Amino acid sequence: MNKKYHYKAFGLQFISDFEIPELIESSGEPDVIVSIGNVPKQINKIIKRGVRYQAGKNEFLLETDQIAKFYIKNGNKIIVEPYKKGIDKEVRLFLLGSAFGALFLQRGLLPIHGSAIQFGHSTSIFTGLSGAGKSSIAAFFVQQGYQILADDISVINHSLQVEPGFPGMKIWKDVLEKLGIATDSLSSIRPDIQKYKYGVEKNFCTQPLPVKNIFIIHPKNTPGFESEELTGIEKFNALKNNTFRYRFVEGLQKQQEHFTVINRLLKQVKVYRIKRPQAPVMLKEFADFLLENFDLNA
Amino acid sequence: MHKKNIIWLASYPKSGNTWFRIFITNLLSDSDQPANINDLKETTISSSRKIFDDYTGLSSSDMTFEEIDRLRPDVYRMQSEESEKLLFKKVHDKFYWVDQQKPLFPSEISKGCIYFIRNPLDVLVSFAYHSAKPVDKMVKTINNSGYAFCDRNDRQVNQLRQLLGSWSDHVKSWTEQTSIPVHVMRYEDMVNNTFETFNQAVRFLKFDFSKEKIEEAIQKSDFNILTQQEQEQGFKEKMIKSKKFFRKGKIGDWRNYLEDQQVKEIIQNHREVMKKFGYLDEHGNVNF
Repeated sequence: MNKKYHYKAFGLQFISDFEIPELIESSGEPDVIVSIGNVPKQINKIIKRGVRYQAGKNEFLLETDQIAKFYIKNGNKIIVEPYKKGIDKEVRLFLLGSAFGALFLQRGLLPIHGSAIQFGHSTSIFTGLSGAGKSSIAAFFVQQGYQILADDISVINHSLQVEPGFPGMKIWKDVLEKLGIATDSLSSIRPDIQKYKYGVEKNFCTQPLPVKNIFIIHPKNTPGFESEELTGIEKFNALKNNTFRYRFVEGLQKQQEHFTVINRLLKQVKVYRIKRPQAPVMLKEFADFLLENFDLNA
Repeated sequence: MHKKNIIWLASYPKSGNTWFRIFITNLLSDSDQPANINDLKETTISSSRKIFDDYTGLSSSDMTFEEIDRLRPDVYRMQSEESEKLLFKKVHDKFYWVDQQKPLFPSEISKGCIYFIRNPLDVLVSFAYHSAKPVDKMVKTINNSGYAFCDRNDRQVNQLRQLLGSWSDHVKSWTEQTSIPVHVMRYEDMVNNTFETFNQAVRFLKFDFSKEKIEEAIQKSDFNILTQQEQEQGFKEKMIKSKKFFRKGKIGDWRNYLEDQQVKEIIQNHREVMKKFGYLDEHGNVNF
């Protein structure tokens, strides 16, 4: 019998046909089976289609050209069909990204597109559009000794806590340089992209924590930092729009569950829109602004 | 069955594209008030990362420029398919074929393209101001066949990569391709002969608007209104290093800034296209 690998990530127990070194090893009753195999050409009933995905009730198919196809079913099964021989870091990059995103949504969890840092006894999530600086500010806090729960996808469970993801971040070269981290010993996420895998094992929080704040970061073209608390429909929309791969939700027919968990979360969290200068990137000033204005460590 | 419902508003930067987008927003609006320059959602940029990520289900920031380019035509096809109305898409990319065979902007979903062109000498001055770069450096940019926006692979950039090429490459790529009908609008005509020029564009789009409505939309997009709005609330499309987006909008301002050698270099490199679009007369003198 082939060797199986056991991991725990995002509050779920995984059993896999192949090694996923990014994840923390842990044995237990599996919630999700990850295997290598042939994925169907098409799912049974497509509700929503994307350029490279098909979504239906309990079924999801995703394709990344020349890398792999991923089939996700019932929130407990992932089949990976790589285009190349074997599974490498490029296949795992999309597995741990969009494919996991679909898995979480199938399970009715709320994946927020952003990074979660522990402050005191709770966590705050940094979210926003691609390029907002979510990982950068999280990496800065990690460097200051704070604990991180997740980078890029912060999964909120039914108890409204962020589940620890895995102890790795993806950080662009320019940000690493600003943080004084040499890239020589780091592995890039892909050969032609100077974005690196940065291990944060020493600063990884392994306990789920309640969410206190969600910061939606917007770059702006003027100097200075600004913040504004969101309420009402704006607050709701902010969580909806920053759900990781929100367009999958409709195809998976999970709108009702998704809205319910957002509505429950709204009662517990504060949501702020934070505007920061687009350039130069001033991580220390940004962190100081957050610490001074939001009493994070309380 | 494809719908031809996308209109590409294409230009090299600083050539009147934003002015026209504001005009279109005003034309399509029922409000008495001029459109807000920070709310031009009818005319979004075609290099948006968010739209790409949403429609593909993938993170563009984990993909190479080539992989992204291969999917961009399908993203536009899907947007076209899902839209019940006309879509205006601002474009700074030149027109090109992905993998030498697939046009980045598919013809079967394109109703047309309005191509904005401006005297490259004025573009140079305006572009230098907006990028807060010395004129000499911008001369090199305008002459650079490999010029692109957002083409760094060591940092997160806010938009997808856009290949522009040199000023002439850009103009030729759009005006000489034959798969999408093109209407060329000269910035100088937009300023000097405003109603007629905008009216021609409206007719090209086969829109049925009255003379009064077009005039009203032109007035609501007046340079003074745009400057005032920017002064009061800023403009989110401004580059961070420049003081303001709506600077002067003047024709012939290059005469106040460029040295003879710089003018010569631009003319030398772009003579053919400048002549074709009336920026050089038969004696080689600069019009405008």
